[in-house]
Amino acid sequence: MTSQDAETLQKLSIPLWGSSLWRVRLNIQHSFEEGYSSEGKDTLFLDFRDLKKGNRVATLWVSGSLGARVEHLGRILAADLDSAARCMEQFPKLVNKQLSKIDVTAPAGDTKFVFADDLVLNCFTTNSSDYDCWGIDWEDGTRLKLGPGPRLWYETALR
Amino acid sequence: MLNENESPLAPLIGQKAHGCWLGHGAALFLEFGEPQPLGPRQRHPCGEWSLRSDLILWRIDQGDRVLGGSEDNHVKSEAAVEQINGRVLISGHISTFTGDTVLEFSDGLILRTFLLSSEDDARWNFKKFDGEYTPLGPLLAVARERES
Repeated sequence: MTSQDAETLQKLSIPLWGSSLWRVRLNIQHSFEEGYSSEGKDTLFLDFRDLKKGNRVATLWVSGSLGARVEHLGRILAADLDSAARCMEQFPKLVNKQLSKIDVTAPAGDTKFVFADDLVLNCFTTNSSDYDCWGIDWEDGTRLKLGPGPRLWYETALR
Repeated sequence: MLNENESPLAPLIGQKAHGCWLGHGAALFLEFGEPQPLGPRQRHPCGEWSLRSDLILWRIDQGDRVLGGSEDNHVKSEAAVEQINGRVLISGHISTFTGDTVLEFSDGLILRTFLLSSEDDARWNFKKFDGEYTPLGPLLAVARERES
């Protein structure tokens, strides 16, 4: 991904800027085996609505097992490897926050979703393919795929 | 962000990396300076200084390309790590609060690390050959806040 590609993705995300996050959905999967149990985070969904009209605008999704974390003033509040208890304590802090902007950087598509009150959802690309990613599903049914991947993927969002 | 004078990475600037390898679970082993003799149970020679990771995310970029990352398959990750060998460290920056690190090597090769836990942070270490460890994660920031 070139800097120009990143800039294009960022511009395509602008309609979401200024929206309010009204709901956070985080699925936590518990696995139980004999003598062992574990928990892991599944896809994270952030539902946005228009502040003035109140209607739903889009859903930001971040697929599981990714480098995503919530930060405040550079400090980590919760991250993917944290316990479910910590995530459940920290993720609700995003609720009702207005999305100020989205920063996409080349070459991997690392993305920062910057919210009011200095809260940031920081997504880091960990591979050179496109099987894990994040993106925006607009209410009209189109999808803007952010994060890693060949150009073909995010050009489909231009339809 | 720590500046280069107060960064524990300062001794590495200008050093050539060699013998860098990928351990289990995408653990990084980066070696700098003169290779040291192998110990009795060692399979990889250490340098005078080492950077070692475990359970942190990382990625290696060059220009507009992503060479590989910690979630790629082992062959691809390993090939990316091997690209570091023979390259000189130009600069190193550590985020004060997270320990996220950006290492810039010659030929535009960049290694980025990303901490994925706020609860367990001593997973990215700087090690001198005498065995002294410095954690580069948030523990470093905590220690500096206490000192000041």
